[in-house]
Amino acid sequence: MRKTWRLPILFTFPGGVEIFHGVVLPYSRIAIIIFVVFVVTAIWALLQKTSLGLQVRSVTQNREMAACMGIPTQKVDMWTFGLGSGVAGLGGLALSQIGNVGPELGRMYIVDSFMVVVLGGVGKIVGTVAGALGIGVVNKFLEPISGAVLGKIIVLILIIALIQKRPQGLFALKGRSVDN
Amino acid sequence: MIKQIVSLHSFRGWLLTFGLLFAAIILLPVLNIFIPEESFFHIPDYMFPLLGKYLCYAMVALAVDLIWGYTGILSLGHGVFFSMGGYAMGMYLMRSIGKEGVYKSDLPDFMVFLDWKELPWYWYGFDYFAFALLVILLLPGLFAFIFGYFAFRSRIKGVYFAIITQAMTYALMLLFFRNNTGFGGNNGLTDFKRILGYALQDPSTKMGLFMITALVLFLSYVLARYIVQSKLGRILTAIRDVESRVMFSGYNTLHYKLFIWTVSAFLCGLAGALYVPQVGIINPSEMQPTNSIEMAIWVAVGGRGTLVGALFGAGLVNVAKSWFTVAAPDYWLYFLGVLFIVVTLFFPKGFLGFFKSFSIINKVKEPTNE
Amino acid sequence: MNSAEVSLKDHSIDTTHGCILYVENVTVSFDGFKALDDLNLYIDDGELRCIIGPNGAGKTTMMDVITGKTRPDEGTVFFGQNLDLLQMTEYEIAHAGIGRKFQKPTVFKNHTVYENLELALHADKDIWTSLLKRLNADQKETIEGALETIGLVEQKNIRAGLLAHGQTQWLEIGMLLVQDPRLLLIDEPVAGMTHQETEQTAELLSSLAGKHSVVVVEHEMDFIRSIANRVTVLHEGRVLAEGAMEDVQNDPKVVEVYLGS
Repeated sequence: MRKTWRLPILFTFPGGVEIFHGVVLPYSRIAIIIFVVFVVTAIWALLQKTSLGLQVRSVTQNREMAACMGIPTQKVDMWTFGLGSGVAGLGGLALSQIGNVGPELGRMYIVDSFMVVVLGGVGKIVGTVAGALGIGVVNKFLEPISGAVLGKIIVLILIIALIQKRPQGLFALKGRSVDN
Repeated sequence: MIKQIVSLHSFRGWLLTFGLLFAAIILLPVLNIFIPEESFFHIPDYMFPLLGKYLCYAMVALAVDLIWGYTGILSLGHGVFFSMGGYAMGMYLMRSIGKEGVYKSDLPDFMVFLDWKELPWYWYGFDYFAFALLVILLLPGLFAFIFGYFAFRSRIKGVYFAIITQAMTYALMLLFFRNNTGFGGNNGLTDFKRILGYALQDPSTKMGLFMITALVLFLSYVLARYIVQSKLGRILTAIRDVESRVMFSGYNTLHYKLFIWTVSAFLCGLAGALYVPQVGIINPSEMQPTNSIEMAIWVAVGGRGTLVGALFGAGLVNVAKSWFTVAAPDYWLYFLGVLFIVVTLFFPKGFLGFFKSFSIINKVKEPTNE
Repeated sequence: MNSAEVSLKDHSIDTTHGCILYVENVTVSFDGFKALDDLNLYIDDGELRCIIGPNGAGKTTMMDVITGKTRPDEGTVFFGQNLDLLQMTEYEIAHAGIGRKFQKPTVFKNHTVYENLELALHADKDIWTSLLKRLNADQKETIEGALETIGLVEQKNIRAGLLAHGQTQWLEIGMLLVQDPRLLLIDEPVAGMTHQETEQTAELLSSLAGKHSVVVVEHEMDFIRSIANRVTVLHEGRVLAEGAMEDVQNDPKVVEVYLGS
């Protein structure tokens, strides 16, 4: 095993809120939830309300057309990739508050996070949020019943079953497809 | 049928193919047996399992190229098919150890260690080679068929399919890592003694396994070549380029994708089964996502969409890997990463595509309909 | 599998009432926007029909519905009296005898011209036939004939990606010819063609009518005038007018839509 480190807790909020009897939600996790809501809202605002967001969305829909309108598609790619990587980094920051930190911290989440996008549908933040919450909650409910490994397999099978009905994900964009 | 197979290659092409087969199954053994050890031309015993391993990887590359290079479907799940063939062979090899294990029990050592009293039901039958062979030939293909049916039917495409296959690989790896699953957990299956009564440590067994691998690779190549040269092969590349147009021409693309996906898994499983007795171990790390990615890298390096490119890429990367892991073991992954980036940036069609671009081959194709 | 597949086998399309395509009360909406709004359209067997309409009138969506690419929210689409197209997949519809030429020419760019025609050719399209059978003499003749018709004999071994735009259009028409469908749906066939090529296309399409039914969507008015017996005008997902070209042209509603307010 590689060595892992426990980081000092940044938001030192000892204690927590007792939701109902015996279940305590630590303040540090509440801080993470607030932080995540803030980041998601910021991304949503960035994509929907700024001109960079408009350019990003136009490139996703029709790259050639966007290029013809004078949008520097390669620069947009660059910015989007940087932005995406940065957000992943923020996710890592949040994770550092609840677990150990090591060079393989992200590996556990690669497959899960891709599954979230497959489930939620591309290009819709609401889909990503719903997919992430769905997979996370189902996983946590299954773990005590079936064990972590079988839980993962069940989730995978559920996702495959779900996309039989909705191939484009739960919140797909509908319309005349461009790629004929 | 015979005529069609003969027409797969020009005379020179066949000469080269058979020349390589001849070199593998006659020349190398002769150089090993009849040339004195001091000579430069002597092939030492240890070379055979090593070369055999490369040939297995080459078969995997063929399989990946059929589905990715020709049909445009990137799979990150081929590690699973490889492992299925490998584990099936490994289970047979475990059973043929008999009572010569460390614990002198009829059960495989790891089961004794876990204090199991009986063989789990899914190990029944692996006492017989014929049964194991049947599993090797059928299971990877069958599993791929079922998985592929649901995946392709829902029209998952491109990167989503890759993700789903990677998730499948990951889930199965976790499953096999568990001791309770009954496949040796972390350590996998190892310490094999013999195959069909022949001692695996024996140089002649090693040579024999190598020769069989070479023959199977040759047959796989002919099969793959037959597929890509047929109209079916042209439909596969058409699916890769514009799938909707193929559908509107009246083809059920689901059947075509499922067919090539199953064939690909079948070849991969076969490669895994040949790999295990030569390398002497199979464990869940074969199902690590990075392994399946590496398989795709072999094909990308050699050149997608050409069979020779896939074979060449698998050979090149793995020979480099063998050299690096001896000379500079810490730097192998860096090298692999750099290699992949360089290939993607500068040789998007792989090394073979790069060489080809100097000729006019890709401008005017030879007529293939005669 | 399902009933559509059974009826696909015997391949007979019931056109005893003289009509080959029935599109009835079809509505398609995308997030509230109605691309087709209660559309009704009937195509006679052997007819050559032109469909015109301003951008966004629903022409391409209508073709998407007929070929199974888009599923309507409401309505029925029948091929002949017996084949319910809404129950069939894209390839079943193509196999039953509906061929389509796309607005943006789509051919297989990495295949040669000859191979493109081979793939489109009317033949058994299951995997085992594709894997084991080679073209027979008749089929080769059909392809050679099509090559002559579309004037690409010399280019037959060239990759389709290297053809000029007009030639690509011709290749796609050739692919439709060898596919030998009962009903051809043709989306903007003469875009990017020279005047002479346009005339040739008009001639070709006119000669196809009778044996096949042809539906052409086009903007080019001269072209339509030269081929059309009947014209349907679509506007905002509905049929605005239908009839002979002169009548339609003088219809005040049509004039208003085209010349605008």
